[in-house]
Amino acid sequence: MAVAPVFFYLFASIAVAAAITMLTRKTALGAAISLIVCFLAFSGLYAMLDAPFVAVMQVVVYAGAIMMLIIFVIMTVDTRKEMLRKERPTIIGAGIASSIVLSGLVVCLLALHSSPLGDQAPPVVGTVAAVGKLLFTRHILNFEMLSLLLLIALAGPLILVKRQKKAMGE
Amino acid sequence: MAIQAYIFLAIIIFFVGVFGILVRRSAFFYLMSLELMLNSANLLWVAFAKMHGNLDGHVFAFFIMALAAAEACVGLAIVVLFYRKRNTVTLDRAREMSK
Repeated sequence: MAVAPVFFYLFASIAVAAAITMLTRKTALGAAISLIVCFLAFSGLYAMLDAPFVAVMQVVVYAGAIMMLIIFVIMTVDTRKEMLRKERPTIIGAGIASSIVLSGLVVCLLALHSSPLGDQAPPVVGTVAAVGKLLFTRHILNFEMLSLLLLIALAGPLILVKRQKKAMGE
Repeated sequence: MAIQAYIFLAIIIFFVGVFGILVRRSAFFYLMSLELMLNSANLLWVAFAKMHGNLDGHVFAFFIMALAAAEACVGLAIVVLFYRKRNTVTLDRAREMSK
């Protein structure tokens, strides 16, 4: 398993670089493209963690469906008219400082907890069959609630847009 | 790979997302930073599932993905409505709640 660290560092550096690239883009479209790169790197990490189902879902749902929707809306809403306000350096400084402080806090907590977290557990592979079986037995109630949530997410935007149209018509 | 490496990566990605929400003003950057943070949580679910040797984490990662899809759907609808009303997607203009 000598190749695993190489691939981990490859995917991890791609993910972090793409995430930082996303923040520094001026246009939302460029940010969306680099976010897709980040999601694909995450998919590689899931594949390394014995989770092929989650890896495929990452590509199909995140990099495919969600980012497709976001890019579609970015292209509908013309952001070239957008006035890109010059960010005040205090805001950026405050953002960097709070991010570093909060992440340092979490890292300190991790460093205190020094018990051997390792791969002693028996390896399980999250294939479609295994995850699907769990999804429809132990987590069936969560699954049904999730379908209700998706129904609400389907109806919500319709109601929002309809109300807007009615208000515009009056 | 040790589990700590995945935890550190998830922390870095999460705080890149936090930084994006704090600094950028466009609604699209808000939504995309949110997706980034949800993804780092997902990575932790899957990493801990491997550590403990059971698959519940994978199921919850799948749930989070569906949740993110619902959130993106409603969030983008709100962004489109905001754009129609204000002709901008800069969230600094969303001030009517404070008046």
